[in-house]
Amino acid sequence: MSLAHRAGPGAATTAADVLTGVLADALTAPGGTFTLRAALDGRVDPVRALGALRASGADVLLPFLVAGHPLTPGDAALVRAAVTAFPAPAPGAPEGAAWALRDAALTRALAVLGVPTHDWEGLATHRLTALTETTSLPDPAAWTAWGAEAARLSTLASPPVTGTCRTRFREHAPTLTRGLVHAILRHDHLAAARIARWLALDAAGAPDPLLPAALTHLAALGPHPPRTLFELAVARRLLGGAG
Amino acid sequence: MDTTTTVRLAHRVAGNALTRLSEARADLVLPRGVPDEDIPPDAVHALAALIPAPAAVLRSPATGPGAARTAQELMDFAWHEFRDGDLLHQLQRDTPAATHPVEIYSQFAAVGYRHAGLDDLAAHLHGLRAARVTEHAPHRRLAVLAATRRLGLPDPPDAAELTGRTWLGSTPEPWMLDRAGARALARTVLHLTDRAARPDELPPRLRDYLERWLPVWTEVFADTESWDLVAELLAAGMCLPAPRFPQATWQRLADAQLPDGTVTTGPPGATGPTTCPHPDLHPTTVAVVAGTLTVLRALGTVTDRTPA
Repeated sequence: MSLAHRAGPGAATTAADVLTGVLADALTAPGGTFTLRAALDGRVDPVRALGALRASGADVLLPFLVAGHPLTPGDAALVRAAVTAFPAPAPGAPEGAAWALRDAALTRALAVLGVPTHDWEGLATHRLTALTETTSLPDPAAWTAWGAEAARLSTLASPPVTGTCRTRFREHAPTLTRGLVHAILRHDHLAAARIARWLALDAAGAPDPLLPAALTHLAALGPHPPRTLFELAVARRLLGGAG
Repeated sequence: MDTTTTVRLAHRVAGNALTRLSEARADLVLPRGVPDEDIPPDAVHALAALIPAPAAVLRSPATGPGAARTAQELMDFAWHEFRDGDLLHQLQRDTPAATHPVEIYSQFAAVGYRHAGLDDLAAHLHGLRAARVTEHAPHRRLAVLAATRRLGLPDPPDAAELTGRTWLGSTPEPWMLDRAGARALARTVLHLTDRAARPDELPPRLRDYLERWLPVWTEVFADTESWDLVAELLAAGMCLPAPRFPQATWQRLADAQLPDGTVTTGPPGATGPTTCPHPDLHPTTVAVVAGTLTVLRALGTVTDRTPA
């Protein structure tokens, strides 16, 4: 399953869709004031909103990291409430490693935004070492698996999040580009957008010329569901555009 | 990736497919006792579609004696059906603007079958201004160019420009490849390199493009079980200066091959009703070509070979 967790049916799906739509808008719309609290207030059941925030991990902070919106104390408190309400499972749980990666990314992003988390309850333990783990990464020669893993780990494709995953995906960018093209040809636009996000993250002003063209192409193939729109907006922001 | 295993798979697929083609000869006999103009074009096309397989086998020095014998018998059969070239000559006389008689004939000529009358007529037609303006798709212009080269005719003045007009020559966004584009691309590569005989004829720009994207396209068409296109792209891959030998793809193609050696265009029943009398002839033929070229390139040599 994705690090961003697949939403379940019913209202939980609605909450996840509303949140990703809100985040995509915040990444796309120029200027204006954005807060998570104001954007979600009245649109989603408060408890389900906390669940959606928790499931989105560090992604909820991207409007503040890459789109220039200031993180308010109220929004930081909202994220903390989500972590407290939906704590990570014990380290030995089946998805313990995925939780550790997600919470390591969340912690790193909050630190960059000036929010210490040392006294937060509910975060996965051993989070500081999680980003150095590479056991889940396949051999880059297996480019289809490499692309699939990059898509699965797209929540980690965030400017403040460093570690072995990021290093290896950057080192093997041409392999990722194959995965991007493969996903587009298979009409898996969500996976394509997630892989594009990794490619945009460390393009450093000199992206593969195919990347902006691919993002434009994917956008033109819409309408897309909220999650795909969000990933596309992140990729465009990371590439230096306005989402 | 284990090249030895890949070569074994390719050899097995090609051998089984060649056997199947040999068994299909009875279905490909042209009508007897009818005027040439009444021979159905589909029958001519089906018989012609067979030829690249034995032609590839006969050109390969890596061919074993059993396969060489089968291929020789197939070529002799087809040449006999075309009345030792007389029928192709007549078809060309009847429709001078058509290119398919010379294209078919050139594959025989490449392995030593010649028809003096058709050679003369082909040379004449090749010199006409009309030969430069045939309303073909760009990759088809390359097919005609490859055919006239096999006959030893000079290149037309615009030969160097033909590649740039093809889908491959424009190196488009790789996600825009569709089935027709894949077929055109694979054939462009085969024509440019004379079916792997001259890999260095492939411009470096196209070589780099193919090395980067062929694995992706092959995977996509394998996922949709489009075995005709998988075989075409595998054959194109063997025309690169430094070919790769994709074991997993060959394994999937081998698994898809029917027990009698047939390689189908798609999964069973996927193509639906068809008016084509031999819908699997083409993919089975391409499987022979791809497998033969794979074995050949693994051994690292390509030479011409004429029948005894």
